[in-house]
Amino acid sequence: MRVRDVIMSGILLLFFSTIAAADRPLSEIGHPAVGTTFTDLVRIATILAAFTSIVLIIYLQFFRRQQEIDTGRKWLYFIALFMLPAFVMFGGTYFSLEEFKNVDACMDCHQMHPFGADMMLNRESNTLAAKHFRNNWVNDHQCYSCHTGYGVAGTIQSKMDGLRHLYGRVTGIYDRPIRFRGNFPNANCLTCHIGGEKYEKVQIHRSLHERILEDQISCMRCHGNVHPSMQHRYYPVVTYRGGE
Amino acid sequence: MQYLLTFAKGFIILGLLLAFFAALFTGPGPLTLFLSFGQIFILIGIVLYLGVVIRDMKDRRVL
Repeated sequence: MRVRDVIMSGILLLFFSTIAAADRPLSEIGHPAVGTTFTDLVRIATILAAFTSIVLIIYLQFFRRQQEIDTGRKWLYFIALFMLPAFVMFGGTYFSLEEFKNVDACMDCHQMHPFGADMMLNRESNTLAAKHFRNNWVNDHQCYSCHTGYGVAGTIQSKMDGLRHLYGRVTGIYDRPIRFRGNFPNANCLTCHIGGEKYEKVQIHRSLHERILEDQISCMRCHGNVHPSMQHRYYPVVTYRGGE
Repeated sequence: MQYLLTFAKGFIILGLLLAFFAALFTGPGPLTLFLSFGQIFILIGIVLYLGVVIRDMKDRRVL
């Protein structure tokens, strides 16, 4: 078998992998988004850019090697070695940051499974997280939506926390038992609830309005059962992807 | 200078392959590791390539 045949087989393999990937949803558990999202498009564009760049480099290296370097070929090099790889870098960063908002990302850590089990598998659970998930009160990114502060500062803080979690996951160095480090600002609840009829008609919400807004009194003080307590946590036998 | 360009191509192809498969098989574990390594390789390759281009331009007194 000649080298060119091997290269062509590799290119064909990459090409068919690309087609297979285009139909794959980003999130497989929780409530995956319906239709194609912008993140899906960026992911597919990143895959195609990587594929095109690899093919171009191979073409320039093996199939047009002997030819004189002209302006057209220099531009091809510029596209294959700079523009497309740079796009792959930025596109990859974008969709990986988006990917980490999915419930899959949180459930990737074994320690999070009891919370996922309560939220997604336990139909009898009365915890706030389970009720929100079961009733689809939060459409997608269920963990991220409640645990990330709103605004730019919240996003940056969540990415810093994510890096810390990743470091702990890879190295295995973290304090045990795991405890929630941050605080839970009322804004995370109020973003959806404030102004809603159900919220506004509760007398105590109106009388404590200022104190609730200024975080002087936490929503959790009255609506405390957010996740299962230590005694009620369990590790599920079934996986979240439906298999045993 | 030719060997620098070859190194650049090697790094970029390796990085692109890692990024390609990371994007193909999404999921936080492999995605993070493959993509991070892929991006590092791509970055090294791009820096090498731009180095070669700038040096070439200086030689030809374009810069």
